[in-house]
Amino acid sequence: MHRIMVLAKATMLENARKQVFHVVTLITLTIVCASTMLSFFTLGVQVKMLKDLCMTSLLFCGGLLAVALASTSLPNEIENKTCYPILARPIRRTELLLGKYLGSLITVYLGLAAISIVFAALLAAKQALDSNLIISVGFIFLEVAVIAAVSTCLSTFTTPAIAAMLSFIIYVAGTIKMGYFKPLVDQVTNPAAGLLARIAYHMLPNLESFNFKDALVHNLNVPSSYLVQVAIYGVLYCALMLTIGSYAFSRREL
Amino acid sequence: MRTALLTAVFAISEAGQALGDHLGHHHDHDEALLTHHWSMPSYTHEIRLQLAIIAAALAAAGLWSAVSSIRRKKKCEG
Repeated sequence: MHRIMVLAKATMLENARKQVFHVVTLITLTIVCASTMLSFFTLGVQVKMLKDLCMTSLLFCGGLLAVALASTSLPNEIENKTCYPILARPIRRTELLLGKYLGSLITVYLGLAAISIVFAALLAAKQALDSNLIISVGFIFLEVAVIAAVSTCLSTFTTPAIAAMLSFIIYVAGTIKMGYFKPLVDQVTNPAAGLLARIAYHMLPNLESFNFKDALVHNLNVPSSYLVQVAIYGVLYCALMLTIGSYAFSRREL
Repeated sequence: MRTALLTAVFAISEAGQALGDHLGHHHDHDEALLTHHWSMPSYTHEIRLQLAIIAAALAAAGLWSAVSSIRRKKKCEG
């Protein structure tokens, strides 16, 4: 565990210096701050718009950073041949993979935490801060962890560009899975094509289930049993992706 | 001419007010509907199904790892 944390810290310091991290975080912070200028609505609608816009920005920023950082972290290490001195020490490949994943995730979380604090301060200024904010933001963090796990898994057997592109496609497909793919899969009449479509459908992460934006915007209560189920689902999906990634990385010739 | 203009302005303002009232009612109705229907049975079903698949896959991976480690030990002993 200590070795994984050391690797994660080194990865975090490396990722925090990347331009993409600064640019995406700053743009999102600007959008969040600019959303207070929506003064042409009445107060109730203004707060709803603020929550909606900030949550969407937070999610998009998290997804983009997770894809950009997690999909390039490990392949860059292999391309630059800096992984050889690391693996020459008593460090297993699985530990390197987990260290890279955790390092990328902590970097994304740092950016998201800064944006969330600004968002919470804006809501507090409008006296609209409630407990649903913690749930919604917490599940965005979990969704980002899932996207980063998928990116890390893909980066173990492809180039950084392909891994980033595939991760982004999976991110978008996972977000629209319930709304667009479910009716399409149900419509397939050919049994073989239907089976393939169902397998592909069930392999995609259900990212829409982590979205509790509506609960925050409309002040609705979400059943705690459902929250627990979604949290377990997120953690297990990350575990599965990292297991597959670890297996692929352990068999890869470096 | 003046009377016609005044009538037109009056008619437009009345129509605008009526439309505003109508949209306001519509918005309230949507809000009520959303609050009433905000439950996710389809998501629950999906998540449970995927949880079962993931748990089975993880269990298979764990079993595979255990079997291969036993094989490796036996090979080393042999």
